[in-house]
Amino acid sequence: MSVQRFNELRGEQVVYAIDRQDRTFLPSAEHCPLDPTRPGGPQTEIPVAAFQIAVFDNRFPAFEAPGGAAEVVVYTDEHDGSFATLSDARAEALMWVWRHRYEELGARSDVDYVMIFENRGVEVGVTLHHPHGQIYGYPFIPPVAALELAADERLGGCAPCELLRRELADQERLLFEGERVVAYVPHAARWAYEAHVVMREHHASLLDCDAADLRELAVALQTLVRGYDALFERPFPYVMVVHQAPTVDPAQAREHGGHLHVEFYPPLRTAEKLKFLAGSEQGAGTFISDTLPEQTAAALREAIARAV
Amino acid sequence: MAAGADETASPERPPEERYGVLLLDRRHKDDGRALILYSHDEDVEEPDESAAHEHDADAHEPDEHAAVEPRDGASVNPDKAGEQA
Repeated sequence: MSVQRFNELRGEQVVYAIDRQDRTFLPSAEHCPLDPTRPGGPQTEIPVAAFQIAVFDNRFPAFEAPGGAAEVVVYTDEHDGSFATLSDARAEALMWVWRHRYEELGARSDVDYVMIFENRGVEVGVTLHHPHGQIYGYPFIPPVAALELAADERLGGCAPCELLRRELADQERLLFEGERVVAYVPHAARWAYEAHVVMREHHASLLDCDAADLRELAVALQTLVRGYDALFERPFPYVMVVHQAPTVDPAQAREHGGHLHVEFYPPLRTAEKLKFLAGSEQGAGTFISDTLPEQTAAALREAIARAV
Repeated sequence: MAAGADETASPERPPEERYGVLLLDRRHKDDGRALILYSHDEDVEEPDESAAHEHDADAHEPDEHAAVEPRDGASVNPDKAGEQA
């Protein structure tokens, strides 16, 4: 069971989940715990011979009931591949799975914020290569979500709506536009190839999305990650996070703010160089970037065009 | 029940759950952890916009193994999607 301590200097919770120290670390493909359990093979986390998408409680949870949730979302029973290589139908189904998990976890009294995310690549600490993501149900509103709510107040309305309006007006950092979804490198990106995939309409969460929204969101996310992989012609590491309304009071999600969008934080600044969070980023909280968002947006647009 | 589902299935089998384009198979692992297997039922017509906000009552029954109850008044959560449809 993890414990939380409040860091007074930072004004934030720190979670101590010491059992995670012994979690499975980069096993061989033959011992992947996210593979299906095949006849005669080792028992894995998923005790069936085949599946499409599986969700289960994390064996090494950072949060667990009655103090939150930690789930693993396995995208496919095929060990090799990535979110980018899923079929269109599977990617679309995954959006529905995300929606379902947001709804169920968000309804729990011990979950104030549902964060769906994927860490891809050893550069961001991945310990299992099988295509998968995770979901944390925080028993509090974490700092990034709180900052987004503060941005709503500062801008006098929905911040992502206003920022999308500015990006559409500026055009320079847009990656692509769909009928329902827009992707861009933000004006003040912290990471060289940071990208935001944003719903045009104000949808507080996936629960506001209809089937067409989810279908286009899946297409947009895969378009972006395929472009990422084409950028340096290598599997592109990233952290992908779905931002939605807090679920402190699900019945009043709209009043709590939030605008469904997906943010990508890739650590690469060139094909082989990583951006490290060092003195200024950790000590002062100020990112110093070696690239301009307009430059990286142009490079990403070209990569996306190559990948289509 | 999803289109094409076997209506003569064994009574021991838990009721099939639908969620949008998904079929759900809820299980529990040997150590008690929850496991949900989702499948994209390609035989089921994709829901239209209203169907996307439809809530199958079966899908919202609290998990008997869940350690946490739904919030008061939240049920899991017909009001949420209803107000946002």
